[in-house]
Amino acid sequence: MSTYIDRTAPGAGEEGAPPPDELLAMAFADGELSPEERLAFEQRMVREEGLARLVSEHMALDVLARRVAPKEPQDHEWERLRLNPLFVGTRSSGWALLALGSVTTLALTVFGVATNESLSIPTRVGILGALLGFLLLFLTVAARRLRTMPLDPYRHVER
Amino acid sequence: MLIVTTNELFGSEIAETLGLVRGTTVRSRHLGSSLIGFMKGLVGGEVHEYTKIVAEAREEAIDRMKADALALGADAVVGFRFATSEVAASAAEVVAYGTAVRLRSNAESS
Repeated sequence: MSTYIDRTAPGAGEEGAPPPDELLAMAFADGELSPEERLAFEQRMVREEGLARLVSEHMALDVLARRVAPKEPQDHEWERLRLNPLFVGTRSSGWALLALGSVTTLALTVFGVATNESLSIPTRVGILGALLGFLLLFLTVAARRLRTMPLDPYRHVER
Repeated sequence: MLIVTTNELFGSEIAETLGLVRGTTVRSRHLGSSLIGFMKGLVGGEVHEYTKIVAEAREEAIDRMKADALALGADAVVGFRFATSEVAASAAEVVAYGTAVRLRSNAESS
């Protein structure tokens, strides 16, 4: 994907040609910018979320282009199984039951600790605080991952 | 950028050795994939969830090494190698490294 891009060429950014920012993103992903241009582009990426997304899309294409995994016989069988109603049903039910059971167990644990009068109030506050802290930290990390996942060009690599 | 495991580039001449370049990453799968991977491990066969995590880490490490080489103004990386180690359960650490070189251009050769 290391195609030379003439950013000064007439027509760049006009109708039919990629917009200048997209050309810059492609050049950045391919490492074709000069150190000064690269630094300026990196500073723009900090401010403009759309630019980071453009670069990520071009990097993902680059990664996939050099690592296209050929289909293997078992891939076709996995695909058939994935569409099989029995497989879909058991898989979905399994995940739903696991999620429901985990949430219920957590809720019962919190309720059990909160209402357990054999534990002193400081102990209960400590346990519930630790559980709440863990939950908040987990939610923070999960939210960050969900936010940055579209910018991760490697998540489509299969093998 | 050309990346080769050999110490020389046949058909090209190395004009300058720029030094070590490397890229490192540690990637993990989410809880759901780890759970399915664990279950596949019980029944045998390829654990695709773990294959995928290693492949993702490998590609990311290569790209970081390439960025390192580009920053030095390199044309190629010779003596390329991978190294792996385990830093956490269900996580893949990959280090990609090699020697960045600048190739002699046609103008320099003539």
